[in-house]
Amino acid sequence: MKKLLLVSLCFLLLCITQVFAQNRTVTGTVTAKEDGLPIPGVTVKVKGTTVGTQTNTAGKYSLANVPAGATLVFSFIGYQTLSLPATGPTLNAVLVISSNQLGEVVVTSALGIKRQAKELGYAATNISAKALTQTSPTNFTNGLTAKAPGLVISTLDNGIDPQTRFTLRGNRHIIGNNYALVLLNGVPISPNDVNTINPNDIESVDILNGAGAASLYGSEASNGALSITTKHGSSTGTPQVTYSNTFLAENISYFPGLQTQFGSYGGEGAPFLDPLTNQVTTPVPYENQSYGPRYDGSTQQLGLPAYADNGPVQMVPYSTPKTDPRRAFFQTGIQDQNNISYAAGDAANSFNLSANNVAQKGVVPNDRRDRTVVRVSATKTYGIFKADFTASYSHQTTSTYGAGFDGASLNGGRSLLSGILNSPSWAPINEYKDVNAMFGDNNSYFNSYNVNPYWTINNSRYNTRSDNFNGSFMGTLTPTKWFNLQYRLADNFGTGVQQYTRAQVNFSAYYHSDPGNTQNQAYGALGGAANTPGSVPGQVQNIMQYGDGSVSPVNNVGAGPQGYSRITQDIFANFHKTFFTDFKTSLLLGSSIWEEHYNQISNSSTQLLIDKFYNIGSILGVPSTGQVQGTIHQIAWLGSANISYKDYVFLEVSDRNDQDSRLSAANRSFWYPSAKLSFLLTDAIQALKNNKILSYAKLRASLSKVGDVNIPPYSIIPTFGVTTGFPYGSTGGLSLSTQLNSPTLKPEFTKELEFGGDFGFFDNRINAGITYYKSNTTNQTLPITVAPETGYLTSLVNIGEVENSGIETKLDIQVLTKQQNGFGLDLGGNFTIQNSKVLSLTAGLPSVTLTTISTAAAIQARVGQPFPVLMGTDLVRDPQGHPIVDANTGNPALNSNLVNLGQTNPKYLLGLTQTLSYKFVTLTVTSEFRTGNVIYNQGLLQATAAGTSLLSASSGRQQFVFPNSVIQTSPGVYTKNTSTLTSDGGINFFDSGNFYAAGSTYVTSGAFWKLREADLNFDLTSLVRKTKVIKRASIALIGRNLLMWRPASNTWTDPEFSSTSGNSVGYETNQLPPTRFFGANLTVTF
Amino acid sequence: MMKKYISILLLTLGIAGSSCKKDFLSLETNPNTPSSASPDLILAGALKMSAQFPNSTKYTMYAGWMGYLAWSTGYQANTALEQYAITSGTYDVWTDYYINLGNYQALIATNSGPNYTGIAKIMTAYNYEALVDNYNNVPYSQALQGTKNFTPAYDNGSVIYDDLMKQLDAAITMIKGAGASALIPTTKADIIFGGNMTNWIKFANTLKLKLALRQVNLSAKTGALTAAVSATSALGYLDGTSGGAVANPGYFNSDVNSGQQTPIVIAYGLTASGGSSGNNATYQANAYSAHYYGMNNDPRLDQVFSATSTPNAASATSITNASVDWVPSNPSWVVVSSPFGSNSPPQAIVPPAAKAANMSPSKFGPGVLKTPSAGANVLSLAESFFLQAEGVARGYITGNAATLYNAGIAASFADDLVPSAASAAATYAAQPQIAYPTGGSLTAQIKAIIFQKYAALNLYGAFEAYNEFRRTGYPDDIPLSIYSGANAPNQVTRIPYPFIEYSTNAANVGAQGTINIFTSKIFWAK
Repeated sequence: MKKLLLVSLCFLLLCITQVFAQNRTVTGTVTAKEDGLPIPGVTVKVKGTTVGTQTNTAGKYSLANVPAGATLVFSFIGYQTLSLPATGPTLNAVLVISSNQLGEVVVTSALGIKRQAKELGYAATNISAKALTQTSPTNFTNGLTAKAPGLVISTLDNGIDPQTRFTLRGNRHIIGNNYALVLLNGVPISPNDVNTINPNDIESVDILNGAGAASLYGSEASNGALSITTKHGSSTGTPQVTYSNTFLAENISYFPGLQTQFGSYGGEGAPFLDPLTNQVTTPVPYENQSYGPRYDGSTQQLGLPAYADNGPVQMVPYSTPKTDPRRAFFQTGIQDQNNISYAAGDAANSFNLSANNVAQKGVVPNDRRDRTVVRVSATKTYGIFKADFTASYSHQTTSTYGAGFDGASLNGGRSLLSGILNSPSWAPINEYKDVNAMFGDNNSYFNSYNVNPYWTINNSRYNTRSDNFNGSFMGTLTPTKWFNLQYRLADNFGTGVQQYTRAQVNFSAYYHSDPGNTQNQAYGALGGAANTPGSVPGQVQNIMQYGDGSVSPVNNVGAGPQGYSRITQDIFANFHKTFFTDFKTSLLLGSSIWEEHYNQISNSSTQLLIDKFYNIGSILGVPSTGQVQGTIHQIAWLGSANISYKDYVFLEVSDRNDQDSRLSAANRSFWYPSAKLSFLLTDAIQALKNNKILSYAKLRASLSKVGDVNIPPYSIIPTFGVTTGFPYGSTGGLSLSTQLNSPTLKPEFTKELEFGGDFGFFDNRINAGITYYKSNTTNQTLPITVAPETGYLTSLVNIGEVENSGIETKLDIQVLTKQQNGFGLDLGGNFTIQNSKVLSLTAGLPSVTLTTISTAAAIQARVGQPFPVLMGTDLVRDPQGHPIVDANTGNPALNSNLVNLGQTNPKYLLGLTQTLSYKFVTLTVTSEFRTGNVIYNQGLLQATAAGTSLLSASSGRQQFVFPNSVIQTSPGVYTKNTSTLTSDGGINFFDSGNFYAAGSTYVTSGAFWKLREADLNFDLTSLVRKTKVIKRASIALIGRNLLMWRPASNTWTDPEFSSTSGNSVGYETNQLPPTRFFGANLTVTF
Repeated sequence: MMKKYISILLLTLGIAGSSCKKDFLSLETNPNTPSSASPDLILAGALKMSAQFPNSTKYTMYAGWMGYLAWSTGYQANTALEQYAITSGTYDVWTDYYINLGNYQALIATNSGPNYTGIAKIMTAYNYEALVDNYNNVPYSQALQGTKNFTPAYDNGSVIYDDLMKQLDAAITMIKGAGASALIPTTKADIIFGGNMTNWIKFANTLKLKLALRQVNLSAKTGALTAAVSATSALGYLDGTSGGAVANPGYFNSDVNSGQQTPIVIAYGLTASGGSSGNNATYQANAYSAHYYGMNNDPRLDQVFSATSTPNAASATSITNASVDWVPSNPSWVVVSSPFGSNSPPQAIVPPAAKAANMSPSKFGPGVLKTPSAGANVLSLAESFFLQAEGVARGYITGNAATLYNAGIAASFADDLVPSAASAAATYAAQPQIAYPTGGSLTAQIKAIIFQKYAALNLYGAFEAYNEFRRTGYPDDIPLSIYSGANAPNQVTRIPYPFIEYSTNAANVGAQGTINIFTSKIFWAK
């Protein structure tokens, strides 16, 4: 398809060639080196003349009147130009792809209009299908990781259906959406829907880093855009069928650092504690915490006697088993991906059909995902009219675990991960798979305060089904060369249905009486041993949502326009005209109208009538129900004019008007202009033409403004909400909303200036690009906290400014070209520096809190600081930053004021891709480095309180000299502490006291170096071509996230993880540990 | 040719434009939450929230300090509560009151006539009184103005009290003067008095008496206050006819909508599905009040606290870390309670092996955690009687103090669901150490009244018990926390302003100076 589009471009751009009748006729076929297939549209010229022609759809050409001894030049966009002497009547050419010819890389801009990179006045990166899918990710954003400057892709955790957060140039909006806009064939889709796209359907992704993208895509593109073009069939005339299978195994690669030296104890007195020495003498059999005696290999009782005071007792070696049971709980996950596609067509028409199925088993037992995507695309040309249609349907089911039973609210129990990571290491928790067997069931499980993880994964589950449709139809009328008219109608919608179910828990009378007075699970879940009920009823929750196919909470502006279905109508008129031969102009006028809508209905009950009968109709009491719906309308008008002079100066100016239904009539219409300039030095300056060293040089600059509405619908009029608890039967009650809505809200505005250049050296074997940008986003829409005596808790106001700036660079080097050396070596890299700074917030307010993680830590926007920053409590320190300890107790002191612990978005990003090829073998390795940020590990806090983290045993449970500490000897004078020991090195230090309480204790560097992708590909085409049936084949060994290096201080987890998909990145709460994928891919084309 | 295409273009754009009628962009109406509300709906919601605060977990700290409850000995210590480690971030009872005041203001703004406005004014006075009793000086004259004033200045607590008295008079006048055509809240909307405006007048008058009595330590005000009370004393107070001010929107045993049980059950009881919620697991009986009931043969002992049959208690040679009180009506049952600040579980040493056996600590009993559908006390009948008794004793109003005192005890027995409440109350009140000291000194009379009020307010009136303690000094023998390191000089005299004030209205709260939780006092405190 790419070829077809390039063909049409060539027709557009080529000057009329004059053909002079001379000498003889040369014919031949031009094919591509990579696949041996013919290339239509290749320009064939006699060197030094203007005599030329083009290849037809079968790649054949015929050039008459070729002088004897002439050389023919074959050129085609995206391929290296080839010169061959025309020695006979037949001359076949084989062209080699040139990935590095900057001036000729084509970038798709709005409406599928292809533009040459040299015309662009802003930073853009084109990622090919090959680079995107080399390790067969199921989510296309994962395939973009580390491949483009300025793009940060973070996977939230390693669940079965992982969400990714993707931003370009950092976070511009404090509360509002910072996601890059995803455009599917020019139409915006919800960030949730990136997972409903089959990456194999993607022809290319264009990454438009800056706010300038919004001049055509609208205000939603204020954070830059990822523009996806899907495949459109083949143009060769011969149908082509491609089948591929990828089989990957997934396992936990880096388990959080847990200690394996000490067993169970949680602060109990006699008989576990020697009253004289205060030493723990015996492990506490039922305890959750691990502050007990050092393992000694003896056999000890685990848990209380089962079912009766004199019941069976479980005796277990008091040591950590060879395989840590906490790690052994996780299994090897499997991902099996099958993809088949059929492509057909000719130069004018095309057809593409593809189907993709992903069947996945997670690393957590019982977790499953199954996704099927079918896409059909077709183009048809009738004279001056061209129709272009594409539609996709996806169906996905997932089943994931919920929480334990030890909480009465809906799924309010203990998290599976915290339960596993906090379990004492000598307890063989991986052996309680049978939750009905003795010691595995709830009435005899060893841990009085925790749930058997197998109970949770068997009995507490989220089952989700998503069905998605996206389709677009575009008609183009091209009555003359200088004018065309385009109409497009696109619709994306889906339904998400989720049922959460939790089974009933029955406690025996014996267990319920709380033997051992441990305040066991029954005591906690049932409100004390004295209370009568012996079981906790089952729970059910149903969520049905019409929107983007997800069941994500709607109105969540921080995480993109989530939840919405969308219907869009675009009408565009394009005019082209050349004046005075050197001035080429074009004008685009258009309108865009869209509607977004969602409707979520939910119901739930925590009192199921019958165990494991999950129907909202069979409950005790009344169900909780809810409905949220929302609609947004927008109308936009836009105009864009391009003018170029002699093909080396390109100027683009645009203006756009959006009218948005979320704002009041007085404020809903807003304009935003942009101007972009590109200057091709190597074409403009005679001295630089045909320079051997500097083969390409372009300077560019862009200045743009974009308005962006960052509020959910209905945020301008105050409302009443149902008072908590109501209705009571037929009695209703309403309370004033605690948010003071104001009709004066306006859009946020981002002004962005960027300039940069793209350079090619040594015949474009070295390509470099550099961009500097600075953007200022004003009118930030913030729900500021107001004094309650105003009658409200929050008020939405337009206030505050955030500045983002940075440098984006990329460098690609073709060290060895395969054609010349047999070996090919390509090095590619990008390096980004991202700065951000909150310039102002509301008057007198130094900060806005995005998330309060605990009383010890919060994610905030703070004036004068990068956005966002982690604020937390810290130890009291001397001016050099050493912790000051008490001269008598040796313990550090707590500074309970929140101090700045660092920014949470990486400041420096480096992505590297190396490709090494020899004959039919190609090795591609992509790695990524990020640094300059911190992360708060909430899971580490919990595991430290539980005594299972490495940190909790860092002093060997002995009193110790607090590292790097100083003692104040007189006011302002501090001396290094070398001898004063802390008062405790066990539970009283790591589970209470100032070190435990300080937020900074759990903060680690966010730096990492990851081997993101490795792909060892064997191209078997030359072996299989003889079969005539198989056109191409390849086998590849692939791996994703194979290795990770972190600073030694980070013993916990992958710092890329985040508890939230919103703006308050920078903290984790027991995310699934990092995993690696490895396996093989087979691709066959018929 | 060109003209043709341009006209096609214009026509197409024109069609596109005309389909966007004006109302295409007018989507202000929120389909999820209403933009306006009827006075009845606002009233029901606001009254429910007013009844929620005193009965919720908001005043758990006062209940702990006043000897009603103790932190569970099965949990890690709560240092804020037991060690008095209180900062501005520890307790916030400020926010909810002001937010609900916004609802009463919204009710007044509906202009629904003198009855609605009168009720809104009475409840506004009730809320502001609570704010002053918690925080002394608070924003009043500049409060509740939304965007017009984001940083309201503080008013003097004593001045606010004076104005509340006037506002209550105004509300009474307004309701009394309401014509026959004035709208009356429906039975459903008025979840306290079911639209009985006479009872609202009595409630307002009782609040007035309460405000006046609260200020008895300010001798300069006595004259004015006596006059103000007597001016409306003829209207009567909450009594046997009206009952107490008890809210009940129709509480029932359900966990939906964040819980539909009566608030004290949500706070200290079990969920509808039998799970522990709120404070149930984290608190247990406090030895001070349990023993006060126990030593006075008070049948409320096993109504307020849950009694257990504990064979170990009878045979024990010694009991540690607990007070054990025998249930008067059932000699084999006991209430096991802990001293405040204790973090050792109650234990009985049982012969013959002198083995230590844990004893289950008592939780709150059936007189406090009645049914999930029981009403919530806003101002209980017992409290009204004790207020009147004190009013008589001090000469603010006329009547028989002893009769009112006994009526207060009887009302409390009934409220705590003591079997045969009336006769049990009479038997109890006849005991010499309980009987009203008619003819005794004013001090003796006040002491008797406040002690009995204290016994009645467990647990729903923890805040009021704390207020009366700070006003009168009674009960004068509540022990301080025994938690190691608590070392308090005296009971907490007031809690600090909440953290949110320091972050949103810093200058004005800063002007109130440093708050010392052991010395700073409410203006009326002793």
